[in-house]
Amino acid sequence: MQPAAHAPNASAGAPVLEGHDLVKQFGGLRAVDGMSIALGRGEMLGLIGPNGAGKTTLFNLLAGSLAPSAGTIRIAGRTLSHRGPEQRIAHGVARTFQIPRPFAEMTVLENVLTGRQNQMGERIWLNLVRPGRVAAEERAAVAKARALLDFVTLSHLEHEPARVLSGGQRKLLELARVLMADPQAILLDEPAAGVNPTLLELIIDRILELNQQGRSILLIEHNMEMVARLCGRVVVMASGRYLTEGAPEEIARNPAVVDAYLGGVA
Amino acid sequence: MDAALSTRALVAGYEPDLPIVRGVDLQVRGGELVVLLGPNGAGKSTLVKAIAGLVPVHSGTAALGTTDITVVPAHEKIRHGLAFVPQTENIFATLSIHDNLRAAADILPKDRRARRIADLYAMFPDLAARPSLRAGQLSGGQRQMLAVARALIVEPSVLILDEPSAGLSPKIVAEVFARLQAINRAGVTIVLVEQNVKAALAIADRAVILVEGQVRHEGPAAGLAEDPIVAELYLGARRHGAAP
Repeated sequence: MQPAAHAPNASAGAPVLEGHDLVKQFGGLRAVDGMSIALGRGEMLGLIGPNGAGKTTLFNLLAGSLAPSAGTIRIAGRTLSHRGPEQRIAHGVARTFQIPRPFAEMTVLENVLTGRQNQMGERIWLNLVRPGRVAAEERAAVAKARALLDFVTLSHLEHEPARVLSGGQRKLLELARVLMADPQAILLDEPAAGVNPTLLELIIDRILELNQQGRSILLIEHNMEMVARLCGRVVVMASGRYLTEGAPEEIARNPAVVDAYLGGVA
Repeated sequence: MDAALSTRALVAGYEPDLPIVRGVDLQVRGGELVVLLGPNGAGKSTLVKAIAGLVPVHSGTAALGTTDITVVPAHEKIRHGLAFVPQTENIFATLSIHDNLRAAADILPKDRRARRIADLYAMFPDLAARPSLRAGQLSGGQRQMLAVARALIVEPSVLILDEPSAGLSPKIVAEVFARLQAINRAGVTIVLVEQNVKAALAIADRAVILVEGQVRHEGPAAGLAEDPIVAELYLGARRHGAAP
């Protein structure tokens, strides 16, 4: 049975991002099949489910990478169901990818700078009539990108091409790039996958700090230990649908969740 | 009985500083059907790919019977009796069913090829019914059967399959698994990597559960689906406070 909506607990505040009755159909396959989810302001919400549950497709719908076949997406109460990712970022929602693909030949610093939105220098006439302001904005952007590289501990690599980074460092670079847009809600797609234990601790630490800054975070993660450390609430998906939700320790003991993970859901 | 397939302290991964498989000892007896289970990222596929020669082995060994195959190139392992069916791209989609089998039979002496393909058609009547059909037009389950038929053409002693049920409906999964069980009963040792835990345990003799690149449980398959150890290893139930 699926409730009409899954509001976060009261302490998390009003939702910053909501998906209602979302459907995504690929030919005969309903990858997301009437799923609803709400991310509270300042909340750290986990999204888990067995392989093929539709988690990443749901992410793609929420981030605007895919248009829903049906259903509604709201950011801070405003309906943006069919707007693209650039519109979602403009409204404060950004996402990372499970396998980051930085611009390999650009430097680490340049990669972070690509995350900046709505730059004055993108308008030719402003370069002509306000060159000083454009240059000042560029300097501020570089300073901000450097601060973010410091935050993700990649400062020493700022002039290196992104292709030299390890898998874990690419995840950190992507986080810095996303933060250039100052998102209020960040969707993280498996930040622990393929990351060595040392870097993983750093990534967990940075995610916690971002949440403490007040940013809302929706986390897809298979590493249940990480989910339990970070998230107060976990939503479980199976076969494209909402299955249940609760605290991590409740979820891990829930027979319906165990059944879904072991192939009990057809 | 001697191990048909074994690994000792096997460490493997795509990058030298990031081992995915971290010291695995695996023993598969001749004639067994062993299922390798574990949550996403546990290293199941990496382990079988390392055994098959498709992922670099950093240290440790893999052996078929008493023959060390750790550094035998992937394409040579088939000559030692090890066949591997990858999860995807395991057939030539633009070739016919028959040409797929012919390509696989190329490794056999010329005088044995036609006979062996005929044997496989007898084993897989669905494939025999339409030998000129392009493999890309087959359903998901039929594709898996063609991939298995290709692997069996050299009469391997050990057959390893990486998630043959991925993307298949429950009904087709049951058909594929029933066929694998029949192949096993005919004497082929099978190692099966699976996410479809309950269906795989129903046909397996023994299960090995990997977590974070290491063996965390191994034992008989019967009754394991109901054992709390599985929930613990998949979802960390005990660590988060469930009763032991």
